[in-house]
Amino acid sequence: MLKYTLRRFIYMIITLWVVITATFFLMKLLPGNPFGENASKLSPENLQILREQYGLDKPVWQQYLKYMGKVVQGDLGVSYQYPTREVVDIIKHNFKASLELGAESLVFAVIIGLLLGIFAALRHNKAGDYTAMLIAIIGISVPSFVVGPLLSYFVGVKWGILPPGLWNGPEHRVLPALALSFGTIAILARMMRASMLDVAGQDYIKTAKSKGIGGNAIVWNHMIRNAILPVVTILGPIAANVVTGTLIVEEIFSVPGLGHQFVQSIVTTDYTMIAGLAIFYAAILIFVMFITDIAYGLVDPRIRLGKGR
Amino acid sequence: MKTRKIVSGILTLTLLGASLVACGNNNNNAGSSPSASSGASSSASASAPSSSSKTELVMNYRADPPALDVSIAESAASFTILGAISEGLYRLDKDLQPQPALADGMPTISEDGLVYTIKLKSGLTWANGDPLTAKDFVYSFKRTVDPRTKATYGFMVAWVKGGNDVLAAKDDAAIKAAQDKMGVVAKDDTTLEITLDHPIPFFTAQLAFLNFYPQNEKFVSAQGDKSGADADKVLGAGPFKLTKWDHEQQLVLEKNDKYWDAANVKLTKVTLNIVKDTATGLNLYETGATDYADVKGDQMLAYDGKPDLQMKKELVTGYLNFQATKVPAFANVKVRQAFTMAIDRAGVANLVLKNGSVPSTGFVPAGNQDGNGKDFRTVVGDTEAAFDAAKAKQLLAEGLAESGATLPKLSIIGDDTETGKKMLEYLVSQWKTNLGVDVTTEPLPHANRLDRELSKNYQIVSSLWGADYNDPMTWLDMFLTGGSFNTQDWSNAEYDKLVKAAQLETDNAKRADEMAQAEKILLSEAAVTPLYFRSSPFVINPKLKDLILPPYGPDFELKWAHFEG
Repeated sequence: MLKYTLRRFIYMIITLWVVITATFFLMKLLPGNPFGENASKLSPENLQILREQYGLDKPVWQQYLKYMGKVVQGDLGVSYQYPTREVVDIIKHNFKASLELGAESLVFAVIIGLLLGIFAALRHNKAGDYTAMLIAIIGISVPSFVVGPLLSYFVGVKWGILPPGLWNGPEHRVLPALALSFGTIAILARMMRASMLDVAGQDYIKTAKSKGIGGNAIVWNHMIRNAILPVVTILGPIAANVVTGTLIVEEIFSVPGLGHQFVQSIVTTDYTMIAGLAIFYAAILIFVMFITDIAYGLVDPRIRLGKGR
Repeated sequence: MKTRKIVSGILTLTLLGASLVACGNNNNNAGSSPSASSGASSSASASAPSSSSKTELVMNYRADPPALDVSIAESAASFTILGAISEGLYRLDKDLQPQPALADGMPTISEDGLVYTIKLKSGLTWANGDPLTAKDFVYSFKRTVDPRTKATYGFMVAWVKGGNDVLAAKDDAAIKAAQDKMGVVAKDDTTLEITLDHPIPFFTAQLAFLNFYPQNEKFVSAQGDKSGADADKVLGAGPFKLTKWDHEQQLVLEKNDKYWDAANVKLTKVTLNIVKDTATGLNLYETGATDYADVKGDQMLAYDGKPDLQMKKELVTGYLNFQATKVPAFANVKVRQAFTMAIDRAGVANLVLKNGSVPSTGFVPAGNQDGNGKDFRTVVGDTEAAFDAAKAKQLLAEGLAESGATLPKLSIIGDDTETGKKMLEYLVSQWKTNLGVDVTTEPLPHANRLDRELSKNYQIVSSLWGADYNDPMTWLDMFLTGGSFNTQDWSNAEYDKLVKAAQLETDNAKRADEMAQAEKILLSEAAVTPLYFRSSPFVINPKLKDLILPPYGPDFELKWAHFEG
């Protein structure tokens, strides 16, 4: 198991290195310059001085080596857009809100999604099933840029139940988390339903039934417990996806998260910020996948022993 | 198998646990609904215009300021906040006239218009109690032009004699030597002497511009690279103090009791919530959670005729450039005139923008002073050819025959924003209908569009220019032969002569006339095709008075704002 974990860890580091390298070189292909509109008001000599100060006059491979050296030490440089702030500080600061929003939306999604899926499976091919799946389909097909403004307007302004935006007290958290969870609810509901139906057809359920075990006990002890496992495996990537910030929900509810930061950094050609965020996102996803791999290895020895031995 | 059972058991338990916690949260949420709603309504009542004694203002603000450092500031967001927490020698009033601020009176100007002697008020202090002296200006100017500061607005402070030498200095010794020779001197603690490179008739007003504000050397040096990064790394001497800066979320300003004119500052607290989505901003305004919100074109309709809706006129012109080297036909004046006259500019304002912007009548926008105490646009009148489809068609035929050139497949580049794209579609339809010419659109991300424009890699570009200072020169020197913004490769000797003469002219009346003549040449040759003068609409609590919205530089001026009734 140790060997397997080590191997996965090395893969993780290599993937991260490839991402950093690819991001660095792709970024250099972006048009425009990172000094913004006002740079065009500078004389060519002054612009050259600026480029020298940021090390942009050096050959790209030298810039790359210098950058890698810094990244290894956890230094992602200073943002061009916010010239007095470190990229690491900006990510740390803004990730807090994205993480909180993502976690809350995940909690909503897990509860509502799983309940909806279980309910649909137990009412298989009946009105309840169709209704639950209709809700799920609506959840998948109605994007958050439609759900968000509707929630903000109706719940926030028309009915005055919750604030329509901002990120101050706990009451400001509910609507954005709900808006962000819609799609995930639908995915989890469909997944849970399919998994439950799959389990329902298994021999051990039939055996349990033939032993005369009651309906509720079968559902709780056998069906849900077994059906939930495949759903859990997709929770990792889903979690990584929702906690890394979403531009649309963050903008609609004025959440100070990372989503907007990412788009803004590309629009303003903020080299260090783009690279920093790409590395950060990749690191989260790769880490989640690493953990999932380890969990798989723990659960099913065939995975860790099968290949590469 | 055993491990599998254990792990799946644990995972199930964890999930159930999470669900329980979540249920708890959910219940909390449900339970807190009344308090949540009361939270919303309490914030509403906190900012609702309830009593006459309201002294706290809550505003939506569209951007987090990049850096609150006088030298580095380059965006409207930075200018706005710094304008509230700091101050220059002068502050512009609602008529854009400079009023003495840290200065004790208007400057004494030498006859050749080069040397400004300014007396500071006595007893001035920074918000932390340090005395504020003329040396703080000297330090500030020198720091801004120091290339190590990386100030993109350094070019403006380099109007001060010797400033350009500092900007261009290569090493520490050269920078120091050039700084020592710079034309800014503290004669004593309250006397500042500024010597300019060449006379600038609007320089007194310019001293109200952010990059000319003083800086406290001791404080700024102590912050190092982090100067202006957080609330505790900002020091001013203005009407307010920055007491909280939660990046991308909220800025809180509180009244600065050490400010020399504190008696005239009525607001005790200003909260600026960063709200980027205008629809959300309006929702907040509707619930009473804010006193000010920006509005977009279509959202204006709901407020039509209400006192809440107001219009901010800006010194911004939207215009087109036709690249003459890439498309030789555009080197012909009649062809350019044809493309210009084929556009109904009223449609640009009324169909595309719908935000109070008005069709252009020249390049320098209405409201821009002429450097001689008058409005440039009023003095010069309309210089741009009116919409005339028939004449446009005729001019195109004549122009093409004259130049012997043909029109290649044309495309127009512009920003890929919602409005930017609509604009391109509108222009293309105008040229198709009125000239019978097919043009394709190429909407691009802003940085990309700018890059293509500045590297002259376009045929037609839809662009925008905003004034850096309130004088026609910020518009007219763009199109000098070989200028970096003369991306269309237009050249006119008479124009160059007039603009260069105006740059050195000390007689303001003569200078204004030279600039007027220059703009007439620019537009008669259709060297540039202005489309509209921009406005931006907003809604504001009708009881909030004297919130000044300057047409350039900062977004708003808070010093005199107060609630009435």
